[in-house]
Order: sequence, then structure tokens, then C-alpha cells
Amino acid sequence: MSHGASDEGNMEPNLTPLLDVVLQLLMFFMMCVNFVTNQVSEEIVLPESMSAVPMDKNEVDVLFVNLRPFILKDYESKGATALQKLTDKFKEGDPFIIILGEEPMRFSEFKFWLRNQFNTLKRTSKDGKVKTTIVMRAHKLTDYDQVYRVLQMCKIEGFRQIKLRAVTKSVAQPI
Amino acid sequence: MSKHKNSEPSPEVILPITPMLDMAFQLLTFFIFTYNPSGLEGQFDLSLPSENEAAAKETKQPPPPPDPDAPPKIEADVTIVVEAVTDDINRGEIAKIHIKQNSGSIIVGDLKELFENLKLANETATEKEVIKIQPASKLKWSNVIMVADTCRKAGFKNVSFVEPPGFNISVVN
Repeated sequence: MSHGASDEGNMEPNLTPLLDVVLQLLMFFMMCVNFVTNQVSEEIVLPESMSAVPMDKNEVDVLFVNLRPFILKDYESKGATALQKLTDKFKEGDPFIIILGEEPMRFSEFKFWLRNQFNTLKRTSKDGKVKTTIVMRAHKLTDYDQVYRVLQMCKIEGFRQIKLRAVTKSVAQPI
Repeated sequence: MSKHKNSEPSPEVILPITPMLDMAFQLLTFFIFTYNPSGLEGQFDLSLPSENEAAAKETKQPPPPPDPDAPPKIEADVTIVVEAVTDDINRGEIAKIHIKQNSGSIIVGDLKELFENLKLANETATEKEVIKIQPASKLKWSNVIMVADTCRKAGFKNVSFVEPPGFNISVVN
């Protein structure tokens, strides 16, 4: 009894397990955010699909190609200089190719970039074969002929493996 | 000296946990709000012809002998031609869908009708898994994916996309 009474004056919550959990959660979110920004562009709204299969996490040799139509109102929040730069280059509805780490491209620039990428990959490959997969992320509002054009460009430049991205939708939903 | 040191009580070290916890919670809140779950994304495979075949097409040479590593080319019995709405309000939506088979062609108006007809077509088709889709140039990508989904649901697992009508290959080269 006397032992309990002496403890009453020194009641402090044990923060250590709380801090452990918080730091673990923090680490998880930091790693996830880093992973996401390395690969995808938020400017792309993918179409929904019931039959898309989960991504292969082991696949590392990939090139991400983001394609969408240029819609001025989606870029109005950008600064005046950046917006001017975009409107000088793209008209409303023009195909807009986004490769992370590069300036937005037109088809002609993309073809040149793709050729350079292929040549670099071929040079650095051990057996001279390019096994890189193109991951195509096309915005749901993109016209089919623009998607087809990008696929043809990849094919002509020599890329053999292409994957099309979509957002997985529950199978239970009706057609 | 050592005697003097031992007699003194050791100083109590207080680690200020509260500011650290505040900071951790703020960072945690930031990352929770900005978290974008990429796990919801899925993908479809699409195989393209060999480099030689592509190069031959570019230089308009006769096609090279088939690549032994490439999967065998199987012709589809069923082809789906999708027409798009061209007016300003519903531009890019599905207008009409043609189901083309050796026996003839059927026109359907929506995806539900397409599904029912494709199920019947799948029963009579020689190549039960292969189907070709030829969407119109201005059909929205989301509608193309919906048509492909319907084909897969009807039993055609191997869906391939054909060039849109009137597509000029020279714009790619």
C-alpha cells in the first residue's frame, strides 16, 4: 500500500511505445511517397478496368510514358510564366507527353527522346538486346488515335514489351 | 578528487520528447494527406513484333522471317469496330459497335448488348480467346478500355487493338 501511495505523485504517461509507432508510420509514408513520385504523374487520370492485373513489383527495367490531352484549365493554377511557356507550345486538345524529369513533349520530341533512350539502353545492355518495358499511362480522356500513335512509335523504335496502366475496378460492378 | 565526484548525485538528464512528438505528428499528418495509393493501379500486357519486323515496316521492306522467340500469330474470328460520337457535347463517346464475324456483321448500341452477343459469338468461334478491337480515332481511351473489359468478360482473354480507320502510318515515321 505504501508503495502505491508513493507512486501517485510521479504519474507520467509512457511515451516510448507511442513514439515508436509514430516513427514507424512516418517512415512507411515517407517511403511510399518517394516511391509514388518516382513513377507516376498526378496529371494523369487513368481509366477504370475490371480486368487489369496487379503490377509486378519485381519489374524494375521500365520506362514510364504519361499521355494526356492538353487542357488549359487544368494548368491555370501554374504560374503565369509556366503557363505562357505551355500555351506557346501546346494548343487545347494537343497530345501532351509527360516523362518525369523532362519538359512536356510533343510527338516529334517524344520520338527523338524514345530513339535516344533505345540507343542508350542497347549500348549499355550486356547482350545488345533491349528488355525494357514501356509502361503507358494514358489519361482517360485521350483520343484512341493518340494512344495508338505512341504505341506505334515504341514499336518502330524497337521496344517489344508494353504495358497499359488502368485503375482496377471491383469485378462485382455491372458493365 | 575521485572521492568528491562519487559523493555528488549524478545530474538528471531530461530528454525533451514533446517537441519531437509534435514534429513527428505534423510530418505524419502531412504524409497521410499526401499519400496516393498506387497499389490500386493495374496493367495489361501488350506484345509488339520483333525489332526486325518493325524496322522492315519503317523502311517498307518485305517482312523478315518470323522471330522464333515471338509468340505464334493467331488470327481472330471476331473483330469489334467501335464508332465514336462526333458532336461537341458527347464527343468521344460510343456511338455504335459492330461485331464482325465470318458469318456476318451485327450492330449493337451499348456494352450490355455487346456482352450478350459476344457470349454467343464465343461459343461458335474457332479461336475462343482471340479478339480484335478497332476503335474510331476520336474514341476516348476510357471507352476503349470498357470495350476491352467487356470482351474479356465474355471469354475473349487475348484482346488486341487494331489501328483506327483512316490512320496515317506516315505521321509516326
